[in-house]
Parts: sequence; C-alpha cells; structure tokens
Amino acid sequence: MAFVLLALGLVGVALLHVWLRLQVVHMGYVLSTTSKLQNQLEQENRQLKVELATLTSPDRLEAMSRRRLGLRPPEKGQVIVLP
Amino acid sequence: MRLGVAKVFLMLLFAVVAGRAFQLQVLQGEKLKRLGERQHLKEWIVLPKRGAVMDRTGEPLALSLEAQSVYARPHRIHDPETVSRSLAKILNLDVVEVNQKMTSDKPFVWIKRQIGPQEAEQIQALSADGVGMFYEPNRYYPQGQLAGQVLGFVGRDSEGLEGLELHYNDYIRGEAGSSVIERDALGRRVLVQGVEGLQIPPGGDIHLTLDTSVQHLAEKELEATISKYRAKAGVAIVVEPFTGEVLALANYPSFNPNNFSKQSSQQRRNRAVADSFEPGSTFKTILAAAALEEGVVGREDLFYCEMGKYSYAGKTIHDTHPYGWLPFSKILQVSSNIGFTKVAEKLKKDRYFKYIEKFGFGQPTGIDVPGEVPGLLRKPESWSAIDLATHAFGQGISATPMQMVMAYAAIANGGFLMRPYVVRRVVGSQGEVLLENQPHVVRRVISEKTARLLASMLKEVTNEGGTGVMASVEGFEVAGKTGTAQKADLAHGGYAASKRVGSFVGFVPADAPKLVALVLVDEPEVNVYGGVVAAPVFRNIAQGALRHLAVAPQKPDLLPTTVGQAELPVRRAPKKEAEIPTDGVAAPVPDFVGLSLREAVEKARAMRVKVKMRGNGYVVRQSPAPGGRWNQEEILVLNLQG
Repeated sequence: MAFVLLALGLVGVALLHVWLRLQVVHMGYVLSTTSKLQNQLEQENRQLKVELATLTSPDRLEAMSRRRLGLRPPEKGQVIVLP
Repeated sequence: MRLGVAKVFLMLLFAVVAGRAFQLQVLQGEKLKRLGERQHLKEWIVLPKRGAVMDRTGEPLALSLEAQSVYARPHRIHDPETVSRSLAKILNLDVVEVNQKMTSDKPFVWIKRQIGPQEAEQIQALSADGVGMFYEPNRYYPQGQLAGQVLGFVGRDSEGLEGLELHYNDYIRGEAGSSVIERDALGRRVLVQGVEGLQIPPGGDIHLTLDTSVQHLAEKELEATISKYRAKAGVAIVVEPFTGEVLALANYPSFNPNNFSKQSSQQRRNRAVADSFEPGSTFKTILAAAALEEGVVGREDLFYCEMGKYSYAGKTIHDTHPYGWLPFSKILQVSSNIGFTKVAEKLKKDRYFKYIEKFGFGQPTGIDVPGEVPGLLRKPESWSAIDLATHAFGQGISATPMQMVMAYAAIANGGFLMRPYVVRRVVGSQGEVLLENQPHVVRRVISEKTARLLASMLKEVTNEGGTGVMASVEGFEVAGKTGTAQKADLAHGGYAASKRVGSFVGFVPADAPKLVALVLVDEPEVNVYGGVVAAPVFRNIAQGALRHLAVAPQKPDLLPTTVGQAELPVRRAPKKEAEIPTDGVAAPVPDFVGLSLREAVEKARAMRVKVKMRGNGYVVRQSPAPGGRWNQEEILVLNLQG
C-alpha cells in the first residue's frame, strides 16, 4: 500500500516538474513575443516623433500660419505689456 | 517456446536501440551537439542606439530610426540565378548587378541597405538560404537644414563625421553588443533561462542651447539679405551674454544633413568658427575698450580728424566723411579711421596688443564644435609703424565671427570673457546627466565701469547720426558697431579692389543685455556697407528674438498707447510703494466680468491693476468681486472661459 502511494507521489512530482518546464517554455515564448512587440512599438514611436518634428518644423509652421491662417508678426500697439 | 523467441527478439531489439544510443551519444556526441547548436543557437546582435539631439525647448533636431539592410552570403546560396532575379525584383535593382554580387568570392556582401518595411516583408517571405536582413540605424534630421552645420552628420556606420555628431560622438553613439540566443524549429526566440542580461545602454540625448525659433529666424533673415545683396556667404550668431549660451548659429550657404553626401564642403562649413575674417571697424570697439580701461582717453576727449586725410607712417589714412575736431564718443559713432589711429598712437602697440589677446583674439574660444580656428594675430614686435594704424581699424588681423561676438558679449555683460557653448547637457537613457556645460568665465577683460561707459557710447552708433541706425530696434536701445572690411586678395597680395565683408555686432537692450548678435555678410555686390547689408538683419533678428524671449520694450515713449492712458497718473516708482497709504484708497474693485481676454488686458493696463489670468475666452469670475473695497496692490485674479 505504502509502495503504491510512494509510486503515485513520485509520478505526481514528475508530472508537476514536466508541467513547470512547459510553463517556463511557454512563458518564454510569451515574453519574447511581447518584447518583440515592445521593440516594434518603440520603433513606431520614434517614426512618429520624426514625423511630428518634420510637421512642426518652424519653416513649415511659419508658411502654414501665414498662408492658411493669415497670421503675421504683431505690429506696434498689438503687443501689450502688463504692469 | 514462442515466449522464448519473443523474449530474445525483444532483447535484441533493445540491444540495437542501446547500441545506436551509445553511438549517437558517446561516439558522435560532440559532433552532433555542435551541429544541433548551430541549428538552434543564433548570435543576437544588438546595434548601438544613437541618442537624439534636441534644442533648448526639447524640439528634436536629430533622431535615429532603424531600417533593415539586406545581405547575402554567396557561398551558401544554392541557386544564385533565381535568388538574384527575385531579389532584384523586390528591391528594384539591376539583375546583373545582384547576380555579380551573389557569385562573388566574398563571404559577405550587402545587397541593399536601408530598405522599407514592405520590401523587408517580401524578402522575409522569400526565405532564401544565404540571404538575410539586418537592422541598421538611420539618422534623420526632421528640421532639414536648420542648424545643419552645427549638427553635422553621421556616416553609414553610425559614426559622427562632422559637427556635434562628431564632437559628442562618444556620448551619443551608444554601445553595440551581442549574445547567443536559442531558437526553436520555427526560428522563434526561446527564452528557457529567462531574460538573459543583455542590457546595452543606448547613447545619451544631447540638449542644446540653440533655440529653434531664433535659429530659424536668423537663417531666414540671413538668407534674405544674402540674396538681396547678392553676397557669397554669411554668418549670424546670437549669444546670451551672461552665460555664453549660443541661441542661434546660422551659416549660409545652408546645409541639409539628411543627404550630406550630395552637398559640397562649402555648404557643410561652419563659417562662424572655421573661417576667420578681417573684422574691420567692428574691431574699433576693442581699441576703444582698451583705451578707456587704460585711461588714455575719456568719453569727451577731443581729437582732430584732419578733415578726412591723415599722413601717417608714410601712408595716407582716409575717412569716408571729413571731420574736424570730434569727441571720442563721436569718433566711435561715425567710425573715424583717423580718430582711432590717434587713439592707438596714445595707447601704444604693446598695451593695445595686451587687450586684443585679453579679448580672446588669436586663441580658439573653446566652443564645443569641431573645426575651430584661432584666427591670425601678429605679435607687436613684428608690427611696422603702419600696422598700429591698420590694427586700430581692424585690418591686418583676422578673427572668427565667434570670437567677435564673444568679445562684444564681454562688453555687454560687464567685462567678462565667457566661453561659448552649444550643448547644455547630455542625458543618459535612465535620465542621468552624463555631461553638463556650465557658464565658464575665461577671464575678466575690462572693468564694469569701462564696459558700461563703452556700452553707452555704442548706443550712439545706432542713434541718429551713427553708422548703425538701421540696426535700431523699436522700443529698445541697441549698442553695437558696424564694420565694412576689405578682403585680402589671396592671388595678388594686398587687398581686393571690390571685395568687402559687411558686418554688424551688437547687443540689446543696451543697459541690460539679453542677447548679443553678430551678422556678417561676405562679398555682397549690390551694397557693401555693414550698416546697410548687416545692420537691418541684426534688427530683424533682435526684434523677433526679443519678442520670442518675452522681453518687454523699455523705452516708455515707444510703448503702445491705449485709450485713456493720458489722464492716468504716472506709474509709481516701485521703491515708494511702502510709503503709499494703501488702506486709505477707497477705490472700488473694477469690474472685469464679461470682458474678452484682450479687453481685460487693455483695461488692466490702462488702470494699472495687477491681474492674473486663468484660462481663455471671457472673464466669468473675478476675485476680489467687483464693487468691493480692496487693497490696490493686491493681484486681481480673473477666471476666463471660452
């Protein structure tokens, strides 16, 4: 009886070990997929930063604000200095 | 019997299996293990991540992105013909060329570098043996030509080749690294041992002192004057006088580092530090500083300007306009060569030379960009008699625009020669500061008293009757000096007949300088005078920069007038505030509710009430409430809503 229990216990431990190993491998995959995604997102973020900086370059902003919004530098009397 | 046969058969089978296992594990173990590792272990290369470059407000000027590059290992390719054809099709290349690369003897060849993501996907799908891809960093300069010569550029292999990219390469390059990783049958990365410690720090980010807005303004204005006067080149520099921080450093012709290989070395040249010019009349200020500091002249000392012609050391010195007796301040205002020759005679060459050196001429300024030259300075022992006169009006000596602007900064800030810098700090990936440039005083050059006196004299240059009237900025007092220098004729010796360098250097506001700026226009054709070609550029840059830096105009008569201002009492001097009985004033709290932002601002200005605005649109609430009694010195808080 005791022998059977011991054997069952050993089998149980062995199964647990196998399960753990599988989990480690599985989590490893999850981790590597996630870190790949992280890299992709970071890369995308950098691309968007380049795009943003290109779109907001002073040269372009000035041209747009003059042409599309009709803005111009303030003239005498348009700048009010608060006391 | 049958049982016995089965037993023997099973035992034999077992023996065969055991034997095979022995053969694989023990006899061929080493070899097979190596083969296996080659299949599932792969070298993982981590490329250096180059840091970004940002201006003082955090606006990015240089960024790195990764793009894939395709390579081939020719000896591993089984069918070069087919592979070449499909690669050429995907990458839009010449088939013959690709085929040549594929069949070469080299172990490794690049097929195409920096390809787009769609091309990369197609190549991935091709999955040809011996063809692979590799992430490589690519540098982008989103503002294009803005400050191109200051930034410099980066070569293919992520090495800075010029400008700040070169000077600070060690800080921003970042480290490369590699480690071995396991892959499964599908080529996915397996992390059996967890994440291994491959933490390679990226390069640091550079934060500049440059201000994108001021830089853009300087470049735009410089370009406008150069095309207007058909000049060859030009430089504009804006520096903060008390710290030596460079706010703008513009060079023309401009350079766009995004495609550096297509542009000439003339465009890449950072003339502000790499070229030296004979400064001309702007250098008279140096002599004036020396003479005032040594006490050999005073502001009102009179000199006879010989009615425009003066024989000195066997040569004749000319003035553009003839003058008789003039006080020293007037000599500076009208930039009389004869007057300055006489001042130099009183000072003597050795003392003059001492100040030229003290102002930093003949030595690099120490600015943190590569390629700086010291300019040319001859020792007084080698000066001939006429050299004292030519040095007095800035000929026979050469200085970089950066040296000139720093010398004027020393006058602006009360006598300290500062070391200029363009990089404020370098910040690592974890936010740690790797390097920080602090304002650095090189030496005291002149006393504060002399600096103040000289500044007040330089103010007259931009007033009516001076050579720099066109540099005056509305609402501010400008101190500065014009210069029109002849250019040395390199082919024939002496001076070129028509080539000139027009310049203006100055600071504003004259009594509490916020910026020092230099504008230099090289070989203008339409007009050569610094007061005409360079001074208006100074005005436009200074006007825009002061507005950008939110410096309020100082001349009260030039302040914009508002309705009803005339009847209001003159603004009280702040020192007397304590004496004014504030409780006794029973004026009720004015009503601002319902006014627009602009109306509220105008009303507050007219009533001389201190207000604080919150939000945008119309005033919905104010504190204290209108009508009540209040202390007039109290700040009125206005809440606005759109």
